[in-house]
Amino acid sequence: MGIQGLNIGLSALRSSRSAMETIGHNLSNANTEGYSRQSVTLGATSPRSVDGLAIGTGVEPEALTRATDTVLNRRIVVQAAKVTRLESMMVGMNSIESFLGEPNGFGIGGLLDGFFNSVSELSASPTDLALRSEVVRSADSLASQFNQLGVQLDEAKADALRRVDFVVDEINTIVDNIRDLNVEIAQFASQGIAANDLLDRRDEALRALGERINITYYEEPAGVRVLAGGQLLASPVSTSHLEVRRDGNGETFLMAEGGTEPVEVTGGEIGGLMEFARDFVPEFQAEMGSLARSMILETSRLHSTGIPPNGGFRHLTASNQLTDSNGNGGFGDEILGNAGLPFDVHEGQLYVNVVSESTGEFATYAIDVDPDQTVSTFLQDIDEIPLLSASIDGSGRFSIVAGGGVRFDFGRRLDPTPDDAGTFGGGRASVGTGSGEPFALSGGDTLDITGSGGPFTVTFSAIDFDDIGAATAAELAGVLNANANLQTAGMRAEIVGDQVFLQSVAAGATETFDITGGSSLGALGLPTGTASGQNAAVEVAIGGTYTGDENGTLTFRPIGDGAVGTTPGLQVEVVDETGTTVATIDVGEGYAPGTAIQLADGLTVSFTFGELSATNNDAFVQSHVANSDTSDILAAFGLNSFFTGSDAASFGVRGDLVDDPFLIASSGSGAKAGNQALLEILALQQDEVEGLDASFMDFYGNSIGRVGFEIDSVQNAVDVEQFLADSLTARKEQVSGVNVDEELVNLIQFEQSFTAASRFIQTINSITDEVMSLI
Amino acid sequence: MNLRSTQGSVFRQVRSGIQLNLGRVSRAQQEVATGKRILRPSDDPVGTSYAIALRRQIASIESYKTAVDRSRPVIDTASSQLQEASNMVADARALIIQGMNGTLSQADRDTLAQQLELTFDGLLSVVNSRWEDRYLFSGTATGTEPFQVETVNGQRRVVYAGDDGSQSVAIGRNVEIDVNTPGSTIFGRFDYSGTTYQGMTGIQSGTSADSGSGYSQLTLRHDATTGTPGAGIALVQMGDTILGDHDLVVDGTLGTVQLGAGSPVSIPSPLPADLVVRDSDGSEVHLDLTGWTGADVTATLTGEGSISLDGGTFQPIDGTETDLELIDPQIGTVLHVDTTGVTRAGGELVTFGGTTNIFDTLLGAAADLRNADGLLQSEIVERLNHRITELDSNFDSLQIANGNLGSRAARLQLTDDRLGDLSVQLEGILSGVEDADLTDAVLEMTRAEQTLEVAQATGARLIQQSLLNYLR
Repeated sequence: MGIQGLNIGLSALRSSRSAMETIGHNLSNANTEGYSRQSVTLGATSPRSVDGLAIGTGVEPEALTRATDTVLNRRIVVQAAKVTRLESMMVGMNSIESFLGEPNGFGIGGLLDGFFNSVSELSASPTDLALRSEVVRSADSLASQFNQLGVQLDEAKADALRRVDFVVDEINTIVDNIRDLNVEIAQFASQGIAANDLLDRRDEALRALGERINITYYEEPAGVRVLAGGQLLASPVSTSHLEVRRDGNGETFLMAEGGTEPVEVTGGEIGGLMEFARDFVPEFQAEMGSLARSMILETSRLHSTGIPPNGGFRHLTASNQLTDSNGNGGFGDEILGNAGLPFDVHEGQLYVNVVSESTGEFATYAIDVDPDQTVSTFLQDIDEIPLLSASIDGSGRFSIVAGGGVRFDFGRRLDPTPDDAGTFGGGRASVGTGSGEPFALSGGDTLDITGSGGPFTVTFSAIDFDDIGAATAAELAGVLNANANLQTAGMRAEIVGDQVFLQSVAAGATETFDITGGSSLGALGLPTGTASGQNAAVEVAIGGTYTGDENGTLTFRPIGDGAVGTTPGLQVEVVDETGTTVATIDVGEGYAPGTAIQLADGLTVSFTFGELSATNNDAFVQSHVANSDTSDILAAFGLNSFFTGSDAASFGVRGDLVDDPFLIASSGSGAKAGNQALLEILALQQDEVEGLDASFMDFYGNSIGRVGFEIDSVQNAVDVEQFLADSLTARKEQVSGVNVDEELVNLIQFEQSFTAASRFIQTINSITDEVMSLI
Repeated sequence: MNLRSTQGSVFRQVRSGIQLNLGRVSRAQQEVATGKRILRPSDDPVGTSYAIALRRQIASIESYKTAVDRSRPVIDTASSQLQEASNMVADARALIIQGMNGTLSQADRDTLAQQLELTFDGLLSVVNSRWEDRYLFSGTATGTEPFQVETVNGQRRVVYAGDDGSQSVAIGRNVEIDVNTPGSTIFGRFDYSGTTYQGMTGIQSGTSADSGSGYSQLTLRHDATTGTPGAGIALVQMGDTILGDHDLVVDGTLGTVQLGAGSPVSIPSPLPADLVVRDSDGSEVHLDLTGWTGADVTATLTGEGSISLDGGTFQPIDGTETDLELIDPQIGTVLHVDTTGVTRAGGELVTFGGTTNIFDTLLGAAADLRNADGLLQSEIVERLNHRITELDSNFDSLQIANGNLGSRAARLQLTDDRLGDLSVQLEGILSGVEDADLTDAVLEMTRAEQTLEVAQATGARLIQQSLLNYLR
């Protein structure tokens, strides 16, 4: 047996040593991440045939295997991608959550409250400078909070994208590493050796890759093939690096080297970062943006038609610039709907008041606004208002300047003395057309008048009219006023509503003229006969505040002829702009002249003593305005606006107001201490706002609630996924982890078998010695 | 698969256990320290939305409260000023009544007039009072002194320079309350009830309506007396006040002269050059009797005159106009008079009933007392009586306004209380939503601490376990 016995012993020694070395390797890697416990499998060597017996020849290490579960590893990689995606989203979301300052009232919500509170305080004392400054200050805080939030959101987004760049570099390094490992492992494999430690390192690299981006991988004999979002990252021999690109809209996407489609990122840290930057932040930004936008628009809409306590404006410059959309160097030819204004212009009317600084008397001009008209036609409309001039500066800012002695505003002024022309029982001799425009005149029609200087005839010729068969009041009055005979006779034509009145320029009982005939009488509905002035002119006074919500006019006409307060049954008919009779009021016997009579919607009217004449078609028109800018053009231009800008980033308080808080347009009708505009702004605090379908505070509350809900659900998802990941890791630990005690036991086991083998060799040796001693 | 356990998993478990429990302790500690249950929106999204909605609601209540707090001193001040004004008007009324006492001398009346004027000045300063920099009774024209004295046609009158606007504040959703009361409705309401004349001229309202307000002075001037008495009697003309026809009867036997229904006057001797004869209406004619023959006379004397509303422009009257139109363009008054009953020249106080303001009434009463026109005692009394009537109607508006302000002050007080209650209630709900229940929070913290301790203790024992402890 001799040598053979020693060989058996030696094989046992060597096997035990390999086993003990493996145990040592296990013990030393007990804390190595991704290390899989290895174990040596021993096998008996092939027997030798001795004396017809198959005698054992000893032991040999058959295989060095690692305890691993490839299916489990694959699940861990997938799970890691889920966890890291949620975690990286959480990081960003938490940073945003922390600067909202909610629900403790330190954020926009509290400042919104502060603004409305200051407006309410000012509404009780509209001329107080300190309170005005407080409104501006609180508005400014609100605006800068919006700006700051805008910047913070932008930064959070930019941070996330910067992090994407960094992670992509990491991915590329890992991918290279996997390729290298593939090559090494293949080399070992070609010699039939399983490179356990390299395999562990590759598994670990795959896990690290999975933490960064969603991958799928296939283990092939030649190595592992890795795909991310459908694009190949690593094959057994080659790699494709990822790179970050931005598209035209500034959206970030990933391309793999040689890939044709963008990488579809759904998981991993990059997945979370991109979802955060692409969905979460923009969504919240959009919500805060529309809140800011509505706030700017609604407040400015109400403020722009208000009037500061010290009266209207001498000049106003728009805060929003026009854009030269067609690039021809001029702003005037753009249509209002496409002039780069931040808010839409609608079809509607703009009322402009021009107020005398000395007397406080004013004239109101209604301008029709159409989004399809050009900027210059609108400018022209403003320019045509007496004493106002409009211009556009080089940077596209619209401005209006008032001439000497007047100011202008866009308020809802109510004319207390609407019968300026005196066509309703006034002191002048006056006769009106029987109906309004258009007048169906024919070329050559005549009107015979006998004035103070004797008879004369006015002839209407077709060239003076666009369409003489449908002559307008303005054309008719123009022709009459241009007539030299009429001027010589001390007469003029006045337009009231759509009627035209012929009247004496001077007032008094001695003023008379006669309409004696002519072919135009029928078309104009003028009565023939003598018109006389009177010493006691009827003075019409309108009082109260218009409380209705429609813009319109009331036309007052006497029914019958007679003296106010005297003639039995004398009545005045009140007709609205649609021609509907809204009231018939008794002003005859029994009416105490000067007494105010209630009309609908908060208005009153009173008449002093004088003669009214239905025969002479007496009439006056009162216009009442509920909304002096139904076109929103003031808000669009930023004329007399409160806030400037159009989103969270550009949100600001109009500079003029900061410099002079007395410019806050608190009044609606021009009264110094009026606060209508303030009360309307205050109502925004609770009223539902068009475009948001909620009030500001509800919208804001819902928005913050939604953010909180999203963060909360991501947090919950992180908890769930992390738990799953942990249990998978625990499973892997169970399969692959090193139990030191176990290894120690194994160590003792193999130590003992080593000792046994030594003893065996010694025994063999002593046997051999014994035999040798025989020699 | 057999359940292998490894040192690695033990260590990991101990670590994560301690981490988890430490997190709980820290979270509980935060709750206890801040007293808040919701520190970030994600702590409780639904609660956050609710808390934000509640906060906004509280904020809007706060802004209503701000408006109420800002308005109350204004209304209270206005109310106390009106109270003072009421007292002054009551004093003035007493003075006027005193002035009607028939035993007063002109000097006494002058003193009363002076007192009345002082009351007027006091009242004017009260109604022109301010709160901070705003006039209380000028409507929405708070920068304009509401009641200003101006002189028209040589007469002092007070005009209202404010507006009729009322400034309201929001004290609830769609609930507004007026903070001010325009002075025009307090001190001079327009409730025209007709034109009256105080005077002895016999003028009456015409057939057409009148336009005007307050008081106007109508002057009927005697221009000339025509007629021929005969019997050597001549007309002096100077100082005559008769207008229209008056019968003159001279009784030579009794030696008396009688004008109309007036008392006969004895003709003294020597024959006077200027004998004043009065008709029963007080109109006078001056006769020169020096050339009287002693014969009886029955003649008709006619006074010709003219009339003026503004004291400047006069137009002749002939005693037949039933609807004569008089216009004062300066203050926009149109008056229609019937002159058929006019018998004497003189001044007429024209009152547009129900349209006077307190100030004009006081000034007018003072002027009546001073009696610059030399009215008879009875005429003064009649005028003062009339002023009292107007004053009483003004006083009524004052009291109405006073009551109005009082009820608004009460309403504001009530609103203030209600908003306060509501605010407290909502704060309570808000606290329920976002505040930590301290007992719960502390209990939770204790529990978390205990769990942490247990985790630490068991972990410490677990990680020390090793076979090495027994291998030698």
